[in-house]
Amino acid sequence: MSQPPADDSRRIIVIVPNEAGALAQVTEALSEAKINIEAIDGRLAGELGVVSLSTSDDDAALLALLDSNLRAVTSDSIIFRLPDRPGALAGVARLFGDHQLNVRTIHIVHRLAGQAVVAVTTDDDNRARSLLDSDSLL
Amino acid sequence: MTQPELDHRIHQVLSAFKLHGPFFAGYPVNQDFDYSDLYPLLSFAANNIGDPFGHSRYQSNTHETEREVVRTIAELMRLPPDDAWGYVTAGGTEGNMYGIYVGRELLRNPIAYFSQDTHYSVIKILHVLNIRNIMIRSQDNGEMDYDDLRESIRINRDVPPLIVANIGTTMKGAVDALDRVRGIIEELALPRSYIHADAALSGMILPFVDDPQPFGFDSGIDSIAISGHKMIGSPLPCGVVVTKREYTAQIGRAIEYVGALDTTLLGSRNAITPMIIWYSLTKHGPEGFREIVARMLDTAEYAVQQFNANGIPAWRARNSATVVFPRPSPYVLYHWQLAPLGDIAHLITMPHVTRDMIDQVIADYLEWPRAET
Repeated sequence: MSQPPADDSRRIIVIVPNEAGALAQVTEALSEAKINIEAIDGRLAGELGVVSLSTSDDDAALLALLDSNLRAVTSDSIIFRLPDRPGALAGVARLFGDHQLNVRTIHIVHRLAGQAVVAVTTDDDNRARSLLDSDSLL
Repeated sequence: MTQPELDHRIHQVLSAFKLHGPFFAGYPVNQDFDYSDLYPLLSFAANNIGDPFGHSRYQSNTHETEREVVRTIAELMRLPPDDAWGYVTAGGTEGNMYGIYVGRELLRNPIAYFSQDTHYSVIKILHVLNIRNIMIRSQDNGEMDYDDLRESIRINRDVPPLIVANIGTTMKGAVDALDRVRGIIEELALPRSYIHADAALSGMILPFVDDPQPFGFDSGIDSIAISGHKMIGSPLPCGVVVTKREYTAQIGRAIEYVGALDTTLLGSRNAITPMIIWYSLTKHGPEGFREIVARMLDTAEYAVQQFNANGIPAWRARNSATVVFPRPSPYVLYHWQLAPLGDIAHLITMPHVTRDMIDQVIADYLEWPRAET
């Protein structure tokens, strides 16, 4: 795929199944909503594809993607994978709590093939990232 | 603006309402009502500011009727009316906020647990109230995953849990099993906990069916919020929140610290909506609601059978008027004002939704396949 978005820009991250046509679904959703893609980057993470975008109107893009049944979050979340098993999310909340990190939001974004993709925002995202297994970060 | 211009604008809005009304199948709003008896009340600046069980200096209020509404709803929710406190809210969200707020005040720094299928407003409320929270996985049927709840509470068992249970999820009409939730709390021997029930729609369905899932205070809840404009039917958004009277003494004390003993979240409050809810509850009575609910569930079952007979896999939760089916084309979603989420959509057989409307939805579904629109 083409140029990755500049690091200082607010991006949208779309989690898609790693299957044919998934990327096209993302671009079509934005095209139908008449939103320009300014930069796009994609990579694989096991069973999942992770598409990072910056667009001409990120708020409208987020709505268009969600309306097209695509799981999208903004890049001011920490996105990581967890085994999709009872208590896994609570374990992460506990880990952050034990390190005096305040979790602002913690949402399940996607569940697929025994894995849960989770988006978290905290009051210190850099420290939160450092507490997570680096292999789990998307 | 001249009087003809004013009339024109009003006529425009009225026309739009009349146009969309017959195709309103996707949202849990009952349009089958007539409150013309109450119209004269709109000639007064009424206001229900303050605690409906307290004293108000603003005398054009309907506190007495509001108390009657709270007592009636409390009884339906299986709480002795004398043990109940509550008020008529601006809608389900305010009721949820109040219930969760009471839980936070009683537990002091709890962790809130809510399922993936919980209404988005709960996440907003938890953010506003600055309550730590953990999302619990949902099962495919929309109920929370009780194993996930058990493990999540166990990992954080030193912090009291504030559980938001769905008595009818927004999308699938699923009812979280209160007996299982209460069982987990007992199994983990937690001395302090709080369960708030979001019963926006099903709170006024389950009291009127023969074999309801556990939904009330007799099943261990501590507060409940229902919507007035959904099942009860109201032209103005409203709701009712009910909690235990013993809790409000503590909440009242907490608010004294800020110099006001007002137990409701809002200041000025609507004085007309308690009259609307009272009118509906009184006019229909329990037997009237039982008939309405039976008709709704019958129409829902008809919808499931007709969808399936036409090759469209549809289902509904037990005692639910929410019929879930694969997401249709944008045209069908728009025309019938259906609510989609991901791969699914739903219609809700509210009292104004007829079998003829169901037949038309299915005909449109088949005529406008998703891939071709």
